[in-house]
Amino acid sequence: MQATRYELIGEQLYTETLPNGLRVALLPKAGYSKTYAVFTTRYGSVDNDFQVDSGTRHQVVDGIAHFLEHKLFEEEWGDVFHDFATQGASANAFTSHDRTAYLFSATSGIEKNLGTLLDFVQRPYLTPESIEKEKGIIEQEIRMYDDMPFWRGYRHLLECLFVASPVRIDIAGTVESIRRIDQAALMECYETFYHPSNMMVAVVGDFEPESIMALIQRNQAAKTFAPPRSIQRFTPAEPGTIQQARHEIQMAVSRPLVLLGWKDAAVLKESDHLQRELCMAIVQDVLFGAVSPLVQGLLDQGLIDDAPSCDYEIGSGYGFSYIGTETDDPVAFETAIRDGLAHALTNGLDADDFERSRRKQLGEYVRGLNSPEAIANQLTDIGFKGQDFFQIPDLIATLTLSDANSALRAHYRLEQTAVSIVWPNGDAVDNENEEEEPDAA
Amino acid sequence: MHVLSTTKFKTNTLVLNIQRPLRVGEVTTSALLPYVLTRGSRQYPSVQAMQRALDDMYGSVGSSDTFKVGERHVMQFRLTLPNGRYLPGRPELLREGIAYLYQMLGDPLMENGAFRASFVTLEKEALRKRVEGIFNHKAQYARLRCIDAMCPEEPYRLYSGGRIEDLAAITPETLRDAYARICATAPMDLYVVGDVDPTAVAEELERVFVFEGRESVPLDSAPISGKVLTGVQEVRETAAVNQGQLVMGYRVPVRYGDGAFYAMMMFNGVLGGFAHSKLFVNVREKASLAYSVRSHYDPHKGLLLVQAGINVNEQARARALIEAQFAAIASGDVTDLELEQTKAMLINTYREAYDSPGALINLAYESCIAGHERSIEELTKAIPDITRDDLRVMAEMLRLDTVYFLSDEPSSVVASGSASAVQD
Repeated sequence: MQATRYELIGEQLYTETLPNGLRVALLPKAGYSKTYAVFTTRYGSVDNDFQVDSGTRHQVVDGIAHFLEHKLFEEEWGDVFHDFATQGASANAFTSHDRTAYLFSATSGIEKNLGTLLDFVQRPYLTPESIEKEKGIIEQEIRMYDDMPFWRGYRHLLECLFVASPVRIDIAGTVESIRRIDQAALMECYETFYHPSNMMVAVVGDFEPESIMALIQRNQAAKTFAPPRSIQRFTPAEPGTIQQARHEIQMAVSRPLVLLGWKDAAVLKESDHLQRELCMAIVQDVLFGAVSPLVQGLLDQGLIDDAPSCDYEIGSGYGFSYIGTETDDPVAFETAIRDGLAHALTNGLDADDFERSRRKQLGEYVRGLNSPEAIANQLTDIGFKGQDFFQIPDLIATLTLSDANSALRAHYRLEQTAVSIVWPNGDAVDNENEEEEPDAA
Repeated sequence: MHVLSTTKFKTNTLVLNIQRPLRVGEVTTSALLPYVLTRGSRQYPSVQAMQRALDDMYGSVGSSDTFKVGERHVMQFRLTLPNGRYLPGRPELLREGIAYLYQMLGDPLMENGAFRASFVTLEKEALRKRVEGIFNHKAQYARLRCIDAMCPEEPYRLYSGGRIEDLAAITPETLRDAYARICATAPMDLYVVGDVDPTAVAEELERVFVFEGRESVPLDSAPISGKVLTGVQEVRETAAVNQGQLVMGYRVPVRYGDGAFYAMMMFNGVLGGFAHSKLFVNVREKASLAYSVRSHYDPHKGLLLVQAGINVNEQARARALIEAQFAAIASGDVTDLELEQTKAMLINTYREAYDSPGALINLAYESCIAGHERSIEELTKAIPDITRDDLRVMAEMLRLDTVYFLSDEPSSVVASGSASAVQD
């Protein structure tokens, strides 16, 4: 077990890679009541075309990684949520474009809960009946997202931006695609991606790292796994052009919602992802944050009521950003953003703005250290890419204005902007019981 | 002033809560004020300037909004600062932070003796859009509509974000007068959580937070309102949705300060608070009817809401299954394991609050408003003694008030007095 001390931020991290390939990261947080543990496989919705060693190439149904996430909670004796509840732990899981994570938080019985976490993920129990039953539940999950305007606009934006990358496919799949999921396909994905060598466990809380590490070692040593095999993931080459410049839909909403998006033209190697993410956080903050003159102007005109939301995500074979907001005039918003970007691309970021935002990123990082959840998830996410979450302050300190301007120019290409709009469909809510508008609910 | 000094967090958190009664004549003014105040102050006269000051404090986060606790309306101003000792150069940020919190509410930008007119106009419009925008979040919308239908005569129906119909009468002058009254008399509670010297921070707060001639006037401790039920009210709405939203609203005669409070928390936990609860197991796992199904108990008002996202044609089945879970608890059909699990989960939920400055502050403040001290220690002591008989008693006290359903199918209003109607 290796211990690394980070003096300035006052944290000490313990890491080890076990003989079966599982990576472990432990961060003791003195004084915390809760311990948060997350067991993650490097497998998400984009991993839909793969081959193991020289075996058959598999192209799998949309939504299968997420479906598998739901099904692993089932054990021969019932739902593993009940085991966690008996042990006083709150358990959950999530699937993203490139990860599936299983987690719990608890204030007692940490060792027992950690054992339960490792065991249920490493013990798939699938039956045709339970798979059929899950389809009804996931259908309702998909329909719930279908009623969320921001999520709909975001998914359509990715469909516009990407021509080939599977990042354009909804993580949960569709009501139609999940009906085609069966036991054999689920097990194929499980056996490929849930090998310990493709996984990592991160635990943050007030514990003795030696005893937690020993528990994980014992737990893993007691199980047998096939030797690690090489997973080949087929990532289609994404062209520089976008699929579609705009997509507009109508929904039951009170006012329009607009998202503008861009994608990286060139694929970055993994070790450069973190630096790009940090640069893009600064770029988006300076250009589109509440501190920017562009946003102040839009607020003054009443075109927006809050700073727009922004994000940048980079993964294997894709990188994209968006800016989105509710507004009465999506076209005016779009024009203002395009003009602001054109200006920034010509002039670059202001040096003072860059410095201020860089300081802000440092402070945000320190604030994030309050959260066991945020620490464990980022240790994993960044760790999978061979980078160190605790090096972020040093990385931020070495960023230069020219780094930020390079990211700005590499990412934003105005001629490849995609726009996704959700319009109100005009059928106001039909209130049969009351005459009031549905306002003062 | 309440200061909790702890080295556990890498931040210092400052929260100022201002308490108002929840009532028609005031709710929209109280909802609007925090937004007008934080749009710009005398020292930082724009959103940009307010944000720049935060960014200069290493990305500190300031925010404000309103919420209700029972039939009280709370304006909350929050500031979270990174603790400078974990930053290069170890900048001292707390003093600056206190000054900033004061700028968020104590030193407004005035123009011609009132709030700046353009701020008021823009924020009135923003409030209108926020209220209309509730419709964009279907689960929240359905919940609020159910409460609206349940409480037509009770202040609790008022949405903490304000009412559109009140906006026309609000001017920079009426807002100024309301603000002056609030500064002069409204109960204010200031919370600080972090690695701070309690004496020094108290001195600094007292030096900065000065409101001339202020004398805090406690709010009337009027009893929480209620109503006499005459049957189950059925409310249906239609909109172009992909999923139906079913909300069932119950009256609960047990409140935060009551002796049965913990038994009611347990009832809610066994019914639908967790992933091992009856609703999750029976409506989701066994019947595959829903992805999201849960119950929520508001002890400050005395309501319990059950909510499920279901197929639009499954309302009757889902409702019957939900009512069957109440009936099961009422007949004592609760296993030892269910009790044990729920106790463990409730205790865990409360203990986790120790790790969040915001949760600690909110818990302390709820006790302060309810006039009844509740602590994590007390809860962890009281919960283990609750029995299935206690839950049976709770189940018998609950009364179904309203069943609300949002779906895409136009349908006629269903008459009250169906099989499950309950007389009170």
